[in-house]
Amino acid sequence: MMTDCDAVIALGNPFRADDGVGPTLLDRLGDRELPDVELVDLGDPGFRLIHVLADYSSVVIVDAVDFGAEPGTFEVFDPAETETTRTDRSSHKTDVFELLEVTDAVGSQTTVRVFGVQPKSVDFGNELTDEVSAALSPATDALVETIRTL
Amino acid sequence: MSQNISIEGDLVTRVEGHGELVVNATDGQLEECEWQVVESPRFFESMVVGRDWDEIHHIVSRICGICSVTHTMTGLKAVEDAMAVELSEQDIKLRKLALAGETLQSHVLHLGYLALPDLVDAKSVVPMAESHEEEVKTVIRLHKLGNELIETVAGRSTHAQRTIPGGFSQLPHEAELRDLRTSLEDSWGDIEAVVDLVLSLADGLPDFTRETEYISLTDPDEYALYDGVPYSSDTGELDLAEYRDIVNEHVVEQSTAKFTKHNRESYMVGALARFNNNYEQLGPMATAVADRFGLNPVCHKPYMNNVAQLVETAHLVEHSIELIDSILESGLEEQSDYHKPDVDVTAGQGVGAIEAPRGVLFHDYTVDEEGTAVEGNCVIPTNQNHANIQQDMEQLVPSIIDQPEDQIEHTLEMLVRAYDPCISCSTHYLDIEFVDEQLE
Repeated sequence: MMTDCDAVIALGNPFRADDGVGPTLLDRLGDRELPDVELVDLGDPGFRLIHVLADYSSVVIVDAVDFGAEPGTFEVFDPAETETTRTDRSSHKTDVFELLEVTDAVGSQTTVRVFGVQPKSVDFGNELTDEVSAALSPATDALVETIRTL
Repeated sequence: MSQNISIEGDLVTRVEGHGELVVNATDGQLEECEWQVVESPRFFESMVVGRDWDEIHHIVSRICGICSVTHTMTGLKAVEDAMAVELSEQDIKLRKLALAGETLQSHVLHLGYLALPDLVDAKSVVPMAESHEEEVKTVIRLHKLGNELIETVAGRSTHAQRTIPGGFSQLPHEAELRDLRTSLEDSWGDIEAVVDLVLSLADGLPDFTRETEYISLTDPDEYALYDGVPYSSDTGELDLAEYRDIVNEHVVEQSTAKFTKHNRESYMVGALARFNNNYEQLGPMATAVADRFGLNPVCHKPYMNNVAQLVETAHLVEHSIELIDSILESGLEEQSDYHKPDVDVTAGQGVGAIEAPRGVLFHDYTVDEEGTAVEGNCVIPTNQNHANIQQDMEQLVPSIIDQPEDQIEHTLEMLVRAYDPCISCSTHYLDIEFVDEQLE
């Protein structure tokens, strides 16, 4: 299988309910037959995301993203084609999209696609909500397809 | 011009804590001027109680994501002090190397991402990345270098895994240390570029002087970071075991965080305190950076803490190269992976102190004969600076009271940022809302 994708980076805090969907999907990728990609769990990375992105040519970031859809809905998008709403996207208030703006501004050569899953809740809790749990299987299939076709 | 001023700080929730500025004046007369810290309790000292001696450092590492290595190692030093554990010279050098990496990345993060936007008139690093692309690239490279130092020695850049009581569970390879050395040597151009940039903008740092007391560690053998005894610029060397009498934590009405004082109403810790107390032990490259800014000890200008961090950045690169050379010269003594040093578990009480990026950090643990923690106490540098920020504000605000409100706000925000408090996880340290008193 050929792909340009050389890493899947999961973001999110598993102690914040659906914010942990990124690491959960990354775990599920471990059971799948994948091209030669690195699976990286960065949690809540802050500026470290900028450093890690520089190590790869093409990555898929898996994260809970509030894009106003039904909980459990997943979507692949190019962060350059989005506008941030300045709402808190992470429990640590690190705005991933701002970090991606910085990498763009300094001429990053890394292709980034975001595989976003609409959360229902990012309150304290170490379990996903039922809606997001129900989406894990189709989301994993779609994520594998995204990796293969990037 | 006499004016009415009312600055009421909105609470900004950040991971490491909360702070607000409150300034009120009527007809140019200052009525209220407070640095209010409304930090939530985090209960780490209680969390360690009942936990084993070899778990404590993993727990307290989580006090801070930026200086987690420092908390890890200060926790280890306290436990090692309680049980009289001796480390090998090699392990001490490796710990110093990881600490140098952490302070390097922390200083660069603060200077590049949090303080520089003030000087280039950018709201955050995001617009600065567009207006100063090359400079931000340089900052990113240096920040990454600091993280690589930590990762190589401690296993990962945040919440180190390899540092354990008595030494390390796993060691880096000599080849990795040689690669790091090369990266460090290659970083001088980047450091020079940041020095040039900050120097070109240094006029933007407010010129404010207030004499205060500086407390840091000091060590006869080197610029104290990992080891040393407490030292006051007012009273000289102090006894680490009596650290509670150094910090004199006390409760104030305006803050849920304790304030501290020693010989005066307040004291300062951090890069400027270390610079003032231990200037003679800086490396030649660091001294050259200080010379370019005309920075000499004793400097009583809190805004120059930014420059002292830059001086230390150069020192840390020199220091790291020296440490690697020293380790490689004697040959890295190998040990098995998953190594567990012999520690004779005994009951006792121990204190550890390390210079965290933001100043001297104290951890104190008491363990029973099983090695179970029965008491813990941590005094973090940011809390030691709160009273000094308050004292600075009380002297600074009357001298700028006639300036426009937004200028006062900016100057005070820069003052707080100059201390690099751990509560500033973001470039937007404070959202300040002005309320015209005449409308009240």
